[in-house]
Amino acid sequence: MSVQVNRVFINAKPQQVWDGITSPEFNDKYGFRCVSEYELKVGGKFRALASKEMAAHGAPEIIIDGEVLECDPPRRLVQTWHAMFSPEIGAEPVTTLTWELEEQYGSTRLTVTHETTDAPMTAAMTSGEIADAGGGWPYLLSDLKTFLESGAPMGG
Amino acid sequence: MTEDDDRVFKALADPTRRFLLDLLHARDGRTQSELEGELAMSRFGVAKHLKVLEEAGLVVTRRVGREKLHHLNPVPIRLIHDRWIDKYTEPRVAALTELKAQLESEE
Repeated sequence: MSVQVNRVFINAKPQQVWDGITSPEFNDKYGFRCVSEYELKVGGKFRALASKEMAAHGAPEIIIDGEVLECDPPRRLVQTWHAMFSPEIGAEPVTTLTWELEEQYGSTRLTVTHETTDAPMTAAMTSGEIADAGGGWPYLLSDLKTFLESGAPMGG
Repeated sequence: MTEDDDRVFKALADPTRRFLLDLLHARDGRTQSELEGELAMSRFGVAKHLKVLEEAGLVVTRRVGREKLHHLNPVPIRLIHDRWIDKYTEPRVAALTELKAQLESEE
């Protein structure tokens, strides 16, 4: 089994972090600048839409899709996560993603656990190991932290 | 936040701890006894180093059944990269890129 664990402390309340992750109002303002749509209930749909830049590079309209498996706002969200950046990645099995938010001393401890069993290309991309693929979860979470703490993402 | 950076730099300042991170980078999700097998060090010594890494956020543990698995958390290193390294390397990289473009256009 292959599991990636990423953790970051963000100086914001769990509800703000939750909204930063799940609300399309915020989730295209940092990281890869994709709008992510969540239907926040068990069995609800998840999808991330290609940014203009990605679309210009030939990405499909929906670059990631999935389903909400557990939803306990603003503490815990479990979902499936199926990357479809390319036909090769799309052929890999669906992965599972768990977001855990815990308030600690007025900050939020966010832990993102990605189970990427039998999906090596997806794992290589989300771990940030592929230099050209944008830095994966470490980049996304670093930028989410900057966005929520300063109101401005790193840019680029 | 400076305190967090201090903890990360201090944790990385020790060769045994960097070795432990390299081990987890090569294969993530190991138990403490698995890691002990790779080091010529007492159980107590390994536990102490793992604790420093955990406190710096570089290692995150996860319970699976009766086992406690250690995972490398790359985010603190990414934060250091974004806040410290980029700041100093970017102007130089930009200067080199410009130089390259200039030299190549002269050809």
